[in-house]
Amino acid sequence: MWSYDKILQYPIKIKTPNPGLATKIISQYGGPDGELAASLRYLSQRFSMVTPEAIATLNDIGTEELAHLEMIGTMVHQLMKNATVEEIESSGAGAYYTDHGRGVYPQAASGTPFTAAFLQVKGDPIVDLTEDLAAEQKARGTYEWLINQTDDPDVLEPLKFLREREVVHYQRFGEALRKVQDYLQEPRLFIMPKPDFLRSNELNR
Amino acid sequence: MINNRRLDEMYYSNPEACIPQELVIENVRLAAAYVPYQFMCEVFSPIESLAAGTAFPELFSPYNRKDNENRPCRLSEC
Repeated sequence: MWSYDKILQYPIKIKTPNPGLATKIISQYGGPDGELAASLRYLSQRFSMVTPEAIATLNDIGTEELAHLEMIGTMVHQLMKNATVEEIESSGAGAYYTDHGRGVYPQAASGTPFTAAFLQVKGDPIVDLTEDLAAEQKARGTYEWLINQTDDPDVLEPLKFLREREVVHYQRFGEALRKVQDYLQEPRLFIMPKPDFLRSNELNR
Repeated sequence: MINNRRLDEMYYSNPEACIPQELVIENVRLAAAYVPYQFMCEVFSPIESLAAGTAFPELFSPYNRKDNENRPCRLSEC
């Protein structure tokens, strides 16, 4: 169950439309290393995770990724909404406009639609957390390549915020992995002393 | 190792300082990944945290477009 706050995690107020940039930023919405894939990955892996700390980490970060999804959708919307068709065409966003107009559709920058093939749930806690560490690094890398492609501070500031969140999430998944490693290495041999009523039976025999 | 040495200089010279992370990881096994635990020390104010993207100064690592640093080094430079 979730509760929703009608507020973005970080404010987004883009004054200058830039449809070309919108069709690149869309990759963090529905692309291979995007926020939708991240959210579904963590929220799905949660069910087979072990230790309360690691389960809570997946739940919390999976939830935060939904807030990031909303931020990215807002950015794409604001970059597209006041652009003229001529601006859309000349900026190279014509292909996107043909299929989705000024809407926000979960796809990669390349145009590949979102697919669950972007993520994995192996059901093994070490495997899943190791994938999550990689996913955070890939998302950080994507944000850096996006930051390289714009000078608009209205776009840069939210992108930098989201990039730093990936760094923090990496640390948290790393700590969750440590907890899980320790838990899986704990000895699980329990020695139960034989109860007295069983012992007396042995003596009587 | 390099990072630990830098942290040593930062914190061991002042034994009172709060060290925001584990410095030595014990009982490491082969073929496993380890990230040091972070410990709670100083935090940014709420507005600074929003601007930085984290409440933790030790986790704040801004990106400054050093794209070219990732290219492979040429034989003459290595």
